Parts: sequence; C-alpha cells; structure tokens
Amino acid sequence: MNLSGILILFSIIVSILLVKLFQRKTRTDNSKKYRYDERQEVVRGKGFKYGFFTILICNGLSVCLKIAEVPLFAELELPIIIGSFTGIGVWVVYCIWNEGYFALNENKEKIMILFVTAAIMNFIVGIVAIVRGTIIQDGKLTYQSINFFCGLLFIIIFLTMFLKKAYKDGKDEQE
Amino acid sequence: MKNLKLKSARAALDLSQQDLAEKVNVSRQTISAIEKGDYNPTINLCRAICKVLGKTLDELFWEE
Repeated sequence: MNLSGILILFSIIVSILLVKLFQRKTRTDNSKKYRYDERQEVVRGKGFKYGFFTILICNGLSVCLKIAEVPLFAELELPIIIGSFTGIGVWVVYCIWNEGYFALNENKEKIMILFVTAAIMNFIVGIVAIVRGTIIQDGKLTYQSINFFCGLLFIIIFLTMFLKKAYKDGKDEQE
Repeated sequence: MKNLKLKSARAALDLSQQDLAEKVNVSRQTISAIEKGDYNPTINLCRAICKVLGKTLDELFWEE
C-alpha cells in the first residue's frame, strides 16, 4: 500500500470515529441507539430499496459503458463513487421527505449544522484541488474531484431538510 | 380513508398530536399519518393508542 492509500484509510477511520462521537452528541437522551417508530422503519426500508437500485443502475451503467469502451468523463472508479453518492442521496432525500430520517431521540438542528459543515469542508478541499490543478488530468476528472461531489451531496441533503421544514411549517399553519 | 374517530377521541381528551405521540412513543408525523389514513398502524400501536385514549380497538379502528 502506498502513502496515499494509507492516508485514505486513515481518513476513513478518523471519519468513522468522528461520526460515532457526533452521534452521541446529537442524541437527546442517554440511550445508546437511535429510536425510530414503526412508520419510520417502513419509510427507511423503502428508501433503502430505492437507493440500492439507484446504485445498481448507476454502477451497472458505468461498467457497461467501460466495457463498451465508450469514453467516460473520468476513470471507472469515479463514476462508481458518484453512483454510490447518488444512491445515498436518493435514500436520504426519500427518508427526509417522508419524515423517516430523523430518529425520535435525535437533535435535527445539530444534524443540519453537521451537514452544512461537511459541505463547506468538502467544497474547500475541492477548491484547493482546482487551484493546484489536480482535478483534471488528460482531459478527465481525477478522484480528487470526489470532495466536490460529496459537498454537492451534502448541499442537496441540506436543501431537502430546509425545503421540508418550510413545507411542513406551512402545512401545520393550514391545519 | 381518514380516521376521524381517532381524531375526535384525541380531541375529547384535549391531547395534541404531539402529546399522543409522546405517550405511545412514536413521532407526531406518525399520528398525523394515521389520522389522515396515509398509514396503517400495526396492532401493537393500535393497542397502545387505545390504552392511552381509553377506547377499544373496535371504537377507534373498526370501519362499519
């Protein structure tokens, strides 16, 4: 394993630890798990199904195009990662819109702050990659553009949360 | 189909959707979805709601 491989592995482990730490902080009670009610479990299951098929279609399409030697906008690993992001996005957006994303014992505001922070940090890393000129090589996007797509995913998730909140507030007033 | 029996039983006890949701350990949106007829609750949740509202399953969830 080369140095960049070790760094990626290290950053993944640190990210998982940070998420675990943050999960503790976002729970509104002392329980060890997030609690969802039965309707939320159904919504999450459906969302997971849609997300899974999205990943399957996107990644299957990328591999088929690669086999057919159709020139892609990047090497194969990037479209596969973007396909995974799209699937995650479908799952999260579906769950948020159907009110199954947030657990009963979860602080929504803290999660929204986390997502905005993650989006900003990813965009900063993406901008640094653009300034260094490492985002495009030989006319193709490199894996260093991942942060941009990750930031975009977080922005889409945040916007969904924001729109849902605005829509729900309007509906509550009508009721 | 809307569950107006549940809504009126809840209102009779002067409980908001949030109050009932907290008593039966679900989200407010779930109670709202049951009242609107958008979600069919499991028998366990129906029983929990009946206990809180002091009604029978027939009174709240049986359609004539």
